[in-house]
Amino acid sequence: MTQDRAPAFDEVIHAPLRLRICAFLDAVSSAEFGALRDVLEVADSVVSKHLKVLAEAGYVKLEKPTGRGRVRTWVRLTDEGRGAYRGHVAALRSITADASPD
Amino acid sequence: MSESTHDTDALNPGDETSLEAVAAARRAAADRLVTPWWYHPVLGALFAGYAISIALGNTWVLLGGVVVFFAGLALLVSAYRRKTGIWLSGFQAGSATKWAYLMGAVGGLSIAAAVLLSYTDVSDLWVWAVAVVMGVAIVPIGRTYDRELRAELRGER
Repeated sequence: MTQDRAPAFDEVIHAPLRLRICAFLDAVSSAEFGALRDVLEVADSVVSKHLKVLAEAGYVKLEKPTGRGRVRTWVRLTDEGRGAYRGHVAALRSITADASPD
Repeated sequence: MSESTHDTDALNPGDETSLEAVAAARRAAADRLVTPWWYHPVLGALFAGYAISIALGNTWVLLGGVVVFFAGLALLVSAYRRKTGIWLSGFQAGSATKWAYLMGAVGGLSIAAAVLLSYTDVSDLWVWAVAVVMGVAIVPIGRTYDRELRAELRGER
């Protein structure tokens, strides 16, 4: 759940699809790759590309639990990623509030 | 499906569209967080069965109860994850977290009550009654948790 956080604009997160990925992952503990793809309505390769960027920044962790049947990839925000996302949302709110005529 | 991978169409900092994208993603999560109808009844039955095994069983029945309880929980969570493609710990659920704690407390109480009753001479029917009441109570609590969680994600509260 989104909680108050010091505003900190994050260029890695601000790309539209990555922002949506982080917003979705912040609302849950973890999500299956296919669920993310369905929410974003983009191709697997696009999701993979953006998850790779987020993983390289240390913001998400990908897991492939072993077990029966098809191996599914699960994704979750790391603590660092959750903090960065919430700081970014706080920054967006701050900028938007500053720009507001009221 | 779009193949676009452009990052260059990034929104302007502070663009309200960014915040709307965040809100839409949270609504999408809420839409997916629809607990199957059988989830909470099975959870209640697992707690009730565990409580009954503690109160009524000998050592082997108790051990069997422990195995069935934890294996059942693992299967329940696994089935939920497979069906929804997501998982949310009840203890990371924002304002709905209190309902997750209440569910845990009710389950814990049913087990504690069963243990206490096992040391008394009261009829076994009391143990069954307590277990069933506690097990049934988990269902409305769980559904309240779901409603509050989805409402929060949709920004309705």
